[in-house]
Amino acid sequence: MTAAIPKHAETIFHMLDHFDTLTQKTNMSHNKVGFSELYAYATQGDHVPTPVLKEALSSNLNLRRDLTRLLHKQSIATMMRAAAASSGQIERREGDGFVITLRPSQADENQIYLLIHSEDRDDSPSLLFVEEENGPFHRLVIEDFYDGEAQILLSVQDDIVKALRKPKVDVILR
Amino acid sequence: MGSEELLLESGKSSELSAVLHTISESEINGEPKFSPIVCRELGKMVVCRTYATPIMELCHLIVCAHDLSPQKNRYEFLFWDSGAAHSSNFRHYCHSALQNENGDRLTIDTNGLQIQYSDGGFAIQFSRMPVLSALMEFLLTALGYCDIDDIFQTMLGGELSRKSVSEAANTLSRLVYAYLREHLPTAQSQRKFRKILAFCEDDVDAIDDSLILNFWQEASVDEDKGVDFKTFDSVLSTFIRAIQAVESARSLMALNYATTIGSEREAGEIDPDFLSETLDSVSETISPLLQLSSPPLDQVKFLNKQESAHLENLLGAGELALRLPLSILRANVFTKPQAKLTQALRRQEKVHHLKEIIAQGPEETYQDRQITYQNLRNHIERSIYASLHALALARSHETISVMLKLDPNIDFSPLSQHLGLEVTPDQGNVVQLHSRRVADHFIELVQKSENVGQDIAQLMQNAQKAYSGLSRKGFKDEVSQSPDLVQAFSLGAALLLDVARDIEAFLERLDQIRLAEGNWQKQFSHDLGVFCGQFDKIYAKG
Repeated sequence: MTAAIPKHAETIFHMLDHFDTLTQKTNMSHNKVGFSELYAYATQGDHVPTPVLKEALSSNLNLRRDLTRLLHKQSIATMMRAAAASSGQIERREGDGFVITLRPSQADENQIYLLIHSEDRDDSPSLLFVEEENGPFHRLVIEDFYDGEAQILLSVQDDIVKALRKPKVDVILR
Repeated sequence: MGSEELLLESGKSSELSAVLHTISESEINGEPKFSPIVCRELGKMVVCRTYATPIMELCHLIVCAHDLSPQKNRYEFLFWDSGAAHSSNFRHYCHSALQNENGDRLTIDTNGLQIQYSDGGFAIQFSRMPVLSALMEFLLTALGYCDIDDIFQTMLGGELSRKSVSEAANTLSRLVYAYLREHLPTAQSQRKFRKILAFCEDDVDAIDDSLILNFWQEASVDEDKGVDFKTFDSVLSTFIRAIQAVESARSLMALNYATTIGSEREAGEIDPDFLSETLDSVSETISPLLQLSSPPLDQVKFLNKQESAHLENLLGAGELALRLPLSILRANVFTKPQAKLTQALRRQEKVHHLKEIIAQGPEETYQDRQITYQNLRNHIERSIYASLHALALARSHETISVMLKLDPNIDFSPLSQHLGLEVTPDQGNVVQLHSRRVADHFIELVQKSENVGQDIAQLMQNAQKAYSGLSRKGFKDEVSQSPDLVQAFSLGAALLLDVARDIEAFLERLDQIRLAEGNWQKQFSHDLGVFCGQFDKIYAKG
């Protein structure tokens, strides 16, 4: 560079150029999940997760780790995965004063009741999370937890029902 | 550095770009969580690497958030359960939460929180919290919640002191340093800068409209995959940045600023604060647009999206718009058709479709664009007058400031007689009328035109007319009941005046320009041929 161009000009140019690149408006989609969205997913029943979040929770180990940490911090109850020796389908789980049971519907064999019962707790859970080992997260909004229990009718084909029946899943109520 | 490495670099930079875009798009209760001005501050902090002090402030805020939390060992509520990141929301959250706080470490006043440790205190203003909240979002989104939470838990779990908080801040700063070292690579921008310098033979003072056009014609068809100079507007903004960088570096040398650089910095590094000041300085003219779309000014729709978009190129160029007026017009007029071509190319449309788009040409001519600027200038003037009326309706003292800005030579003598004042030429109106006592009288008087003389009465009549003609958000709200709205009209009017002056200066410059083709119509026809020919070479050569 000649004397007319001070050597610091390049450093200043890098800064200005980076600023433009990083802040310019773009229509290009990206697959980054902001922490605000993760927090809303973990705490708000009315939050509708974006496809990007759903995909990232299946494939991004760091994001799964972050969500797990957040859920454990705010959980009302956790029911850790069943013992390694367990086999077959799980229909009942319990932990931290709550019991979760899957009970087939008498009226329709394609439907099943998910019963959440509080044994000795005053807290009312509003969300149920199921984390499969090396698999996706599932989330269910508990809309009506009344008088220590909730009864939610689901399809037997529902992913969360299938996941709850697996031994190697963690269940978190918040 | 080879093309492949440059592309890899570009990927790393895209990751950081995605993080910042995610933050700017974050919503809470259906509104943006962070204002454009807060997002800009965050971007500045990142590229200028001035994050060390804000990270320390953030760590102190985490201590406050922890103490105010309704649940033990949590700090998240202050950041994600207080609504959009506005000072007023943080103020409200802190006042409510402090009522239930049991410790004696925190105190609160109208401006912010004070925290007292055994080895000293620290104060954080509510007005600072939105930026710190954005920084928090950045840390957790870019570096991950678990890693950052580990640092905060260690800090909060120990004996809290100014020293322990500083140590946590240093640990965080080191993580950010390492992240940015990887995600803010310099090779690509170095290549851009050097290519431009080579083209102007290291003489940025020689850069003019024709040189930029020549460069674009050459570089846009260059096969160099590392640097993309295909679009004319990106070429123009790179030239503008190159000129600004050289001029700032010259100022730095003139100030002998380099000698103030800390001994620990590597040779050639520049004090981050100087970089930050430089960015503020070159953004001075675009900054009003950001402020107008951020709280509290966004309560009034002074400019809509399209109007702001029309002004971005012009204001973004700063003073250089007057040096490169034709390039600004070229970018304004030909960016849209080029964007259409880029989108069509992404959709993998056939060559004959691309040729059709090229043949359609731009939607406006240079003369159309000048009319657009004139219309914008007129709209802005109406908005300032309307703001004046709104302020008068609210009986705000700011009425006087806006009035004086609109017409510094206004004849205040009838008014001063009425108020029993003596106005002499060497006694500025500003000094006398800014006293609260006088202003109280003044506000009452300006609404009765028979008391204030012809000049003021005319000004206020124009103001009322402008107000009646505007039905945008904020202009029909009950301004006297809202101090925030009064503030928005007052600040907004001052910023709009700056924008109006910039537009006027640019229009004057266009009037004076000596066009190579003789007049605007011929210049446009000539440029249309040049741009369409170049688009054909770039996109439709197959």
